[in-house]
Parts: sequence; C-alpha cells; structure tokens
Amino acid sequence: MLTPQQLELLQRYHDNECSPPEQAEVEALLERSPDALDALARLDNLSELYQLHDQSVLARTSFDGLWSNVQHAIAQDAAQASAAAAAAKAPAEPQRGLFAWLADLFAGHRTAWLTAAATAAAVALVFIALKPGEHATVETVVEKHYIYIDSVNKADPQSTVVINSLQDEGSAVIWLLPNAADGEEQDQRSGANPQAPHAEDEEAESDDDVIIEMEPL
Amino acid sequence: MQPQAFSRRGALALLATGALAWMAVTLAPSQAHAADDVTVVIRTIHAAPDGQGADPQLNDLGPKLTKAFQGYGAFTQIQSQRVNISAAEPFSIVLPDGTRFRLDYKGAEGDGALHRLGVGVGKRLDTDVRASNGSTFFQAGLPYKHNGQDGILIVAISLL
Repeated sequence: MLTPQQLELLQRYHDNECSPPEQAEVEALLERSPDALDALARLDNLSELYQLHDQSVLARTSFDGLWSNVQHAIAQDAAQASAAAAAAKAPAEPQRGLFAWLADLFAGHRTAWLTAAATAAAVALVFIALKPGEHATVETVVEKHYIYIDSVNKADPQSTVVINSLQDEGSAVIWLLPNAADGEEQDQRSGANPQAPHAEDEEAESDDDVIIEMEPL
Repeated sequence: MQPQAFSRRGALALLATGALAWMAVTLAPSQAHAADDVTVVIRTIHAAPDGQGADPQLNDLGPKLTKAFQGYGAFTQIQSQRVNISAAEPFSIVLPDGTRFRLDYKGAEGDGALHRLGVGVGKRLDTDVRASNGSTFFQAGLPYKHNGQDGILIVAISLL
C-alpha cells in the first residue's frame, strides 16, 4: 500500500520532475514494492490515453487564420500601447483654430445659442428703429415745431415791430406796423401802383438774386 | 452623452449674426447730416377785418391763421410759390403792394433740425429767424387793399 507521498513522488518521477535524490528514492521503492511498479504502469497507460485524446482533438481543430488573428491581436495591443505612450508624452494641447473653439463652445447647446442670437438681432432692430436718446415707451407722438425770432437787426423808425409768439401752434408772427401817418400814405400807394417796387424799398439788385415778379391782379 | 456636432458653417452664421447686430447698433446713423438748403412755400395772403371765411387753398393754415390774426375774418391767398433757397441763392419776391420781401438762407444747426433764415421787408425790417422743418411763421402788417377790400398783407413762410 503506497502512501500519498509515495504516489506523488511516483507521479513526479513519471513526469521527470524529480531531483536526483528523489529519483534514487523512487528507484529504490520500485525495486522493493510491486505496488509502486503497478502504479507507475498505470500512470504510463493514463498518459497514453491523454495523448491520444489530444491528438484526436487537434486533428479536428482548424488552425487557419489563427496566426493572422494572433498577429492582429498583437498589432492591436501594440497600437494601444503606443497610443498610451504618445498620450503620456504628448505636449500641451496645441492652439486650436477659432472655428474649432467655437464649435466646442456651441456644441451641445445649439438651440440655446440660436435663440440668444435671434434675441440679440431683435434687440438690435429695436435700437435701429429708435433714435438714440429716445426711450422705448409707447406714447402718442405729437409733432412739434419751433420758431425762434433771434433778432431784429433793422427796423424802420416810422414803424413798429411786434413779435407774436404762438407757442401752442409752434408758430410766430412778425408784425410790421406802420405808424398811422405812414400807414395812410402806404394805402394810397398800394392802390395806385401795385406792381412797381417803391423807390425807398427797392434794394440794389444783384446778379445772384432770384426775383419773381408777381402777376397783376 | 455625446455632444452635438456644430458645423463650421453654423459657427460662421452665428458670428455673422452677431457682427450684423453690433454694426446695426453702433453704426446706424442717428440723424441726417446738416442741410445746405431748405425748401419753403411762400404764400401771400390778404386778410380783411370784415367778412368771414378762408380760401380753401389755406385750409392747412386755418388754425394758425385764426389764432394769430383774430382781428381778421376773411383770408384770401393771392400768390403761392414753392422754392428751394440756399446760401448761394438768396430769394426775394415783390409783394402786391410793391414791397420787396427777402428770404436769405443762413445755414442749419442741430444736425439740420433748425434752419436759420434772414427775413427782410424792404428796407424797413430785417430779422433773423430759426425755424424747424415743417414749421410755419408769418410776416404781417403791410396795409393792402384787395378787390376793393381793406386789409393787410400776410406772408406765410412754411418750411418743408
């Protein structure tokens, strides 16, 4: 009856895994123990059975493409390794173009950015419609006019000048009121000769003047 | 989540929109440039203290005439002239009473909003006036008889 240690030793002896002292021990055991011989014989038979099985499996297995698959797998591993190495060694990210930067900025939020742009355009249109300085309030616009009488440079001492300012109407009247005595004389002249300019009123004509004579009534 | 790809074209379109909006706001002209001339309508009107009614040609001046010349009831347009006056071309007409009425253009201020004019009535009156576009002012007082009816002459100057 063999001990488990002896059986293990025999198995290793069968597999040529024993050291020289162990071999001597096994050979001594084989000489004195028929059970050891029998066990070793059974190990030989068993290994033959395994070999036959492996051979039959191998015979049925196709190794076509195996090497190319292996090479592909090796290439993939190599590429990943080099990419990792390159990423580790890569310097700081190079300057990106403006468009690439903009694309990154707008990526993922295109709708929001388009909405913002449309709003900005609408605001700009409002600014165009309004003149600077005006407020965007709804109110009734009343057109206003302005008349300023800045000076009366020369006046006939025989007449009176009166400025009537009509602020509500945005207008003004420049009254030239002849004195009573001069007024009577003017009435006579106006009726007798309405066309010809009066000597005292006639001013030196210049070639630059645009003169329009009024049609007789 | 994979971010949406934003094409180069889209980014360009967005940039263009922003640039247009900026240009519209900053470069839009605020007001017209200063004018070198002005177009006016000069109307000679007879105002009579007696009678009622205004010439239909004076309908646009109705409220102003009524308020400015409350002592007069009948207004008749004698002549109307539309002219463009400038500093290079002074303008004058001879009124029905023989008086020469002069209108000189002296430039504009306030980016063309206010025009400076020199108004002369013979040698008797010479005034400086500033008037805005669309306004009307009057020179009045010269006595004149029209169609046998006593009254005064009113010269209405309307800036267009």
